[in-house]
Amino acid sequence: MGALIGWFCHYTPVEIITALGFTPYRLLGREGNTPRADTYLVGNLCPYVKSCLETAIRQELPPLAGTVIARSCNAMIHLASTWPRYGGRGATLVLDVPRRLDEEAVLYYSQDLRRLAGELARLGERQLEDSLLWQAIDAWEEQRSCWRGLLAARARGEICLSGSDVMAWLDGWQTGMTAAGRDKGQAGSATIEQRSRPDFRGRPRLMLAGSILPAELPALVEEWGGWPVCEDACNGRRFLLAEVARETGDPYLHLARLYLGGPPCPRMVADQTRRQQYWAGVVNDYQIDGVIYHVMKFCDAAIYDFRAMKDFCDRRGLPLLRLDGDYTGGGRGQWQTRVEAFLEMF
Amino acid sequence: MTVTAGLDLGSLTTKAVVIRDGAIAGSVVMKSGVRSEDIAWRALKAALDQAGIGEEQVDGIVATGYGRVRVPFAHRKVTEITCHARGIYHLWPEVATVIDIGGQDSKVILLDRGGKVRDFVMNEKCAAGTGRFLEVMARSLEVNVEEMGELSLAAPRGASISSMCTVFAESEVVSLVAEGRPVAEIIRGLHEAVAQRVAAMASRVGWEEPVAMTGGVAKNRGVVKSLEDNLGTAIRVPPDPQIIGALGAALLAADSKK
Ligand code: SF4
Repeated sequence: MGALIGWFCHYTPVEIITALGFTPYRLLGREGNTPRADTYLVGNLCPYVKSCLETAIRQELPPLAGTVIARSCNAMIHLASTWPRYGGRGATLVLDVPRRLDEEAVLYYSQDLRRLAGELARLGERQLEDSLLWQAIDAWEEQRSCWRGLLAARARGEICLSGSDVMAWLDGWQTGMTAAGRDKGQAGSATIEQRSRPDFRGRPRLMLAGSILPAELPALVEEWGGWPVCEDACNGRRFLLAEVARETGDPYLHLARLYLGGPPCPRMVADQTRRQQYWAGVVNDYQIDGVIYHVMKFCDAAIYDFRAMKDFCDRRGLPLLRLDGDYTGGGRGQWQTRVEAFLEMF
Repeated sequence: MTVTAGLDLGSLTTKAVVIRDGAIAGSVVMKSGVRSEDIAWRALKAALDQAGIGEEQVDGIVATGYGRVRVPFAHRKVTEITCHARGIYHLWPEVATVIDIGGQDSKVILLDRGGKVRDFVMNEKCAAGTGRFLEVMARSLEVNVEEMGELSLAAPRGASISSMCTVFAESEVVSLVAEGRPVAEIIRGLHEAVAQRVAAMASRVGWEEPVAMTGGVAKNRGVVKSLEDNLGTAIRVPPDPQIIGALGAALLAADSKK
């Protein structure tokens, strides 16, 4: 396993990291309060970002050769200025992600990806040949496509997977730390099917949405009587992107198109139409009966996105529940009554 | 004869209602304690005694409220949102919005024409806009929480309370007392602050007329009046608003026997 490169936002192209022989390591924070990070970041800032900084200050992270911070929102911009001084060891590399999808944005992002690849290459021993990058692109796509197939089979009820397993496997896969985690994409349904077989058929089929979802939420929703069939989050379905036609020639252009053209996240403010189309696709494909939207405290993107989701659900007559959370793992009692009452509505 | 019981285990009080053939036969309100199971059992026994019914005659028990999960003898657990809706639908089937302010949280519930919950919204994590908020303020003002309603109605105006955080509002109240503002005006100010907050929640969920209010705070006429002023509509309050959740629970237990 190559040296670890930390990353946060799902618009970070892990292909570049693997092509250079590094192992991408997703930073997902920790459970509990963030007293040390609170010393450096203001109180009303994204708790996910603070949680990640807290893990670094407490030295709970494995040694990282570097960290890529996509300055995708205001909180990430603050993190990018704080991380080099108080955060992880190793280099801090920044990435600027456009908030829309059009040809100019794709071109801009592809150039920024090329710059990032150059900076990352200087940390290692390898120069990044295009052919190596294409290989990494293919390898990731193969895994993602396995995952997409697996989650679609789960949504169709062909295989029964618990939300806690799905989130744990996705986490393992994104952190790239465990062989089991890395295998999941390749192993496909055959291995995973043997693991767990809860049967939630007959329950309301739910989409869980938000910026980043607390990993425990899908399991809790199941415990309280729901059936999460799609986790629309940057640590869930969105990270699996969507298939795009292979760009010949420039792999950076391909990556820019792949990431910007994937399921849009709440911060893609200039891309709201596509986000609504994406929801419509999920609702139809996964036969969604209702939506639970987790609004991360102080995540402006999620707060605005929730309003858009409310309009979307109102138009479709879909029940929608808003849950507020601060990513500390302490919301259980508050959520239970809301989720149970929501499920009683069905 | 069908006899069912509903138990509502709130943060401050535990309520029990026993119904016989659809009518209330007994009801009690007790202070909640640390051991919810014991209190729930005592409340149930007291309500049954009041009704002159033996425990062996009870056909079904539904528990609700935040302590609902800790009632081992309940046949079913249902959230207070569904229970308040069911209780109000029994009393006034035409009601479209229920505002429930309890000890620990406040909620606004929208009902459809069949009395089912269509949508709801609850206060966020803190105690602002709840019974607990008023209780803390009553303590600072050295008045009895039950007297707050009448006192505030006598005040010509309300003092302005800018903070809804219980801790900050408490120090604001202490400063107002030190400034010599009449207690009644401070209480009225507090009621207005609670009402504004709850009215904002009601707007968020898109409240509709007619509106009813349940929960312990509905006994405070000052809060009800401020809420009416804020929403610009009359609010119906049942004779004993505190037991509506437990009543709904008992009715749901009876519904499942049909
Ligand atoms: S959760 Fe929201 S604020 Fe936090 S990093 Fe993601 S988009 Fe930014």
